[in-house]
Amino acid sequence: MNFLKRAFWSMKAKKGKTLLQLVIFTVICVFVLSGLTIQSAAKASSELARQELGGSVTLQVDREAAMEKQQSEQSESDGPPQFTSTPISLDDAESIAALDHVMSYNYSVSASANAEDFDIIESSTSTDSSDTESEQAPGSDQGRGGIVQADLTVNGTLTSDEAESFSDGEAEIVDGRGIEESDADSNVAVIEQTLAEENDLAVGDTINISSASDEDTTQELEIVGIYETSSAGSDQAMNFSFLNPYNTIYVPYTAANTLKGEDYTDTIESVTYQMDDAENIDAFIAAAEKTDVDFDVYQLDANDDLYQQMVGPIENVASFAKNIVYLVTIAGAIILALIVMLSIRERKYEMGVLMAIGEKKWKLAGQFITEIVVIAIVAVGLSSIFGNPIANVLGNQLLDQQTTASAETTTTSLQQGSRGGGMMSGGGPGQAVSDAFSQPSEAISSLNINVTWENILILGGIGLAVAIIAALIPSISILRLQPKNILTKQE
Amino acid sequence: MTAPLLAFKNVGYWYTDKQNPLFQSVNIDFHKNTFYTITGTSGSGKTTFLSLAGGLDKAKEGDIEYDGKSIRKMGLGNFRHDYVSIIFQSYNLIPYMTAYQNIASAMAITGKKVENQEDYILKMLAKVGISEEQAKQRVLTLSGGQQQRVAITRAFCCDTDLIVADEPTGNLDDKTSKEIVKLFTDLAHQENKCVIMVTHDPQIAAQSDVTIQLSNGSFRMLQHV
Repeated sequence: MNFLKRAFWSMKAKKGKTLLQLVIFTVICVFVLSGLTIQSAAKASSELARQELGGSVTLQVDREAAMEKQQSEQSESDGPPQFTSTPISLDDAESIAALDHVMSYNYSVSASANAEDFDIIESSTSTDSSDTESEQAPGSDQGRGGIVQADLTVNGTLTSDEAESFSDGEAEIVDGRGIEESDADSNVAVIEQTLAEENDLAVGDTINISSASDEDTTQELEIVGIYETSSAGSDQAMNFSFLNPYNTIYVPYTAANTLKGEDYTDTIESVTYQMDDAENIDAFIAAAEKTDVDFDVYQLDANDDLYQQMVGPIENVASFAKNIVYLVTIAGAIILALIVMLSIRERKYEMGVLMAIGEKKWKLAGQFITEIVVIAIVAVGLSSIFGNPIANVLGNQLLDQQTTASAETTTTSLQQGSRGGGMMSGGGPGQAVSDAFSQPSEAISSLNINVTWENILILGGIGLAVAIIAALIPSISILRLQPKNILTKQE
Repeated sequence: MTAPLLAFKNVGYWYTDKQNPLFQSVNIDFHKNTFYTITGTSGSGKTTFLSLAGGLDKAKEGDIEYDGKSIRKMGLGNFRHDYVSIIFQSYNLIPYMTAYQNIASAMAITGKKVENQEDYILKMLAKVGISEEQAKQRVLTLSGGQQQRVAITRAFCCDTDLIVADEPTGNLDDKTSKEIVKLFTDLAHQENKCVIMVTHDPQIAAQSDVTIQLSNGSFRMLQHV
């Protein structure tokens, strides 16, 4: 393998040129390795975040479609606008719950009630309901009963642990237990600690409540648990008792349905399906849309705001890193090809001499490729040393920029959202959005960047390809020449 | 008469116009143990003739045979690789290599193997007046005469029967030229080689065994006694 020896002699004799090529190749390799490392770190972080967060999908009434339908009906009849909510049947909810990727699910039914034998926590500026502008109590139905005032918000659930306030950590059981699946059809409740203390209530006691829309519908509920909330409530809670977080009680969804009336038996307002992995949300929605559930009336909303917020900046960084890899690889290959091309053109004479002696053309190309591949190997080695700290600085700086930009966008959106949204829904999709906005600090703010063997192997592959292309393209044009032409022109 | 080492058989050559050939129907035999010189005016086709003999170019018509085999059929690259050594006026050494490395590379390319290669090369270089110290210097640091000696040693070390040289003394002073010509003569007679050399110098031509004069496409052979 004489050409290997010649390659070595050539590199040794032309130290300056070899060093220049090595510096250029090392810079290219460092950038490519940084890009690859940032990409894999970002992927690992977002996968971790995804596994930790899961993600959920909520089945609920498509309010927009319902409103449009009512508006069109209104234009035909001159009556006032009416909103009719169609509850979801348990059968529909369970048919979707049986699909793949559902880790768990929870029902949600909102109702409003008045306290019969205990005092609610009054708001500081609580006023007579007739003096204030009306606020719709949760679960009240504009289309049927008009605007109703109530003392309590009653949240019907399958398991309270998976209710949003509890799963977010805003509410926590401090005595007794939460609502469980086996509590369906039972008259049990979980009440807030302040309400319990105000009324000297404890686990095992009973309370009586009546439906806000029908005073004749009353329920006796056994307290099975007491929870504590950290929620400050909304500004509107100053005027409306049922918005006060202390006046929220959790009951089985069946009990909430009883308060709402016979029409609501075996129905729910919404179901939240917890996914095994946020990545499967799209596949789950696609499968759900193939079931018999009427998606003209209902819709599935992916509640992956928190996941998106966490991984958004990191995905931007990963995408940027990917572009760096492409850009640097292509630009690097072009720059190196040009340098090698110039260098090989200078060595036309040498090629003519070697061909005149009888050297095979592939061995000449082999010599040039060997020279650049040796440089590539050294450059990959050097970049694996320098790549890690550079990738760390670069990756985390990029992530900082992205996180700051993301936080600014979130704050702006939140401000706009709070200015625009006067109506409180007391739960549902709006709350999920505000929860996501309330936790901007959850975004992944640093990357654990480490150069792995896999990164180095990929870099080696890219480096080798760049080296071979950079040496081969200019070699081809020169190797087409005949030694006589080269040597004659030289002379 | 022994069979020729190299034989031109009805060889014709032209650049672009077949009607205006450089030469046509050339039939010349070259034998071992003979030192040939080719002379002629500028543009007469001496170098082209030598390129054909050295396998650097193809004849446009006719054939050139080496030891009875068509060099066209064996491939010019293979012919150069196996059977011929070429020496140029401008030495054509690889500039970034030492004298020793130039010769070692050529031996590796042509597959010439000897025991203790370094000693062999240094000994051969010493024979032409290149010291060990000079042998390990980059060739560009050597004088023109020394570089040409290295080029001749390269051809000698490759140990081919056919050696073609294109005005190897063109850039050298008289004294050095004489020494170089002596080397070629010795190569032909002592090492039983066929040496074909292009030269402008009639004195050098007179020292060869046979001179081939090119003029307007015709060849005239002069046998020196």
